[in-house]
Order: sequence, then C-alpha cells, then structure tokens
Amino acid sequence: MTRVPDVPVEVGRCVCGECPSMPDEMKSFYCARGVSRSAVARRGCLCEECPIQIDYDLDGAYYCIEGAPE
Amino acid sequence: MADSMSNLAAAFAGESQANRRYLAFAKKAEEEGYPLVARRFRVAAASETVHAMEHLKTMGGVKSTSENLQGSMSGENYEHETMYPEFIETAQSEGNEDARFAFYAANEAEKFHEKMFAEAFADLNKVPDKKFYVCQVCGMTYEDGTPDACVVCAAPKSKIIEVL
Repeated sequence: MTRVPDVPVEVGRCVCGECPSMPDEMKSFYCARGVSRSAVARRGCLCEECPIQIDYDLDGAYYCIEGAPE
Repeated sequence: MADSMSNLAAAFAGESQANRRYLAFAKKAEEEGYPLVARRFRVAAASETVHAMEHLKTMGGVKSTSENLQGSMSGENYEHETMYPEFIETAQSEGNEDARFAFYAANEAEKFHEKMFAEAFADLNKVPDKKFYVCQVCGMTYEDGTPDACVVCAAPKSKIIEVL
C-alpha cells in the first residue's frame, strides 16, 4: 500500500500537471499511482514543493520514474 | 439480408466512430506538423457528423427532449452500474493498467452525467442554470467551478474547460 492514499481529495491537490517533466499521458499523481508508462525526460521535478509531499512527510523526487513511496 | 432499420443503426455507429477517429487523427497530424492533413481529417469528421445525425434522425432516434433525457439517463446508468465496472474488472485481471484507468475515469464522469440529466428531467421548465466544465484529459465533468486539479486524473485546472 502506498503512503499517499489514492482518494479524490488528494488527487485534487496533485501538481504533476504543472511539472515540466510530466509525460503526455492521462495518468499522473505518481506518488500514489506509481511510475509513468511513458518515457520521462528529466526537465525538473515539482515533487519536493508539492503539498502532498509535505503533508505525508515524503522525501523523494521523480516519483514518475522512481515509483510511489510505500 | 438486413433491413434498412438495421442498416441505419450500423451506419450511425460507423459514422459516429469515423467522426471521433478523424478528429483524433487530426490532432495527431497537428502534433506531427501536418496542418493541411489535419484540415482534411477535420473536414471528413464534419461530414461524418452530418451523416451520423441524419441516420439517427431517420431511424427515429431523436425523440422529444423529455424522452431523450430519459434514454440518456438510462444509458449513463447502464455504463456506470454495469458496463464500466465489468470492463474495469477485466482490465484489472489482465493487468492492463492503461485500460483500467481509462475505464475508471470514464466511469466517474458517467455518474455525474446521469445526475446532470436527472436534474433536468425532473422539471424541464425549471432546469437549474449551472455552468459545466469538462476535463480535457479524462472527461471528468464538474459543475459551477473547478478544482485546482482534476480529482480523477490530476490534470491541472487549466485543462478543465467550460462547455457552453
């Protein structure tokens, strides 16, 4: 089970859509939903500034590549 | 040999799909830098829309607004009560995450659509004047405002646009 619950209230706070590295796919919210199925070009990461990162005491980055923390 | 009513139904389905397919191809052509090809796809898409709507009308598929709302409510209900839950389960058992998520996202929107139609059906002369918005990434639908990010796919607010 991932540390970030996949519930609408948290999905609604996700900042992945604003990220310069966000790949062209429907799925995001990678800290809860896991790695991207598309290739991700590292153009910067917003995970460290994301309110979800702070509220759930996470310390990673590029969850779209590294996967969701458990 | 099929009769004309069956043929109209088949033609309506085919033209409807062709419209969607050509619009998707137009978008791809634009992305790949072929705007003149994209235009041709959009032209064909517009024409197929006319065909589809004419076939639907001819087979008696457009009734009164009240009846159309009732049919739409049933359709949306079937999708989120039966069709998509079954599709989600199948995709999950296959490990097809892309299909599962696409079905999940569509399912969430269909629940909203049924309520939206039901509200109008309750009294055609007192339909609440609300604004509606559709997420351009997953199709989730909202009323009277949008969240900072789509609560289904997490697309940013800028991707959730009003539909008039």
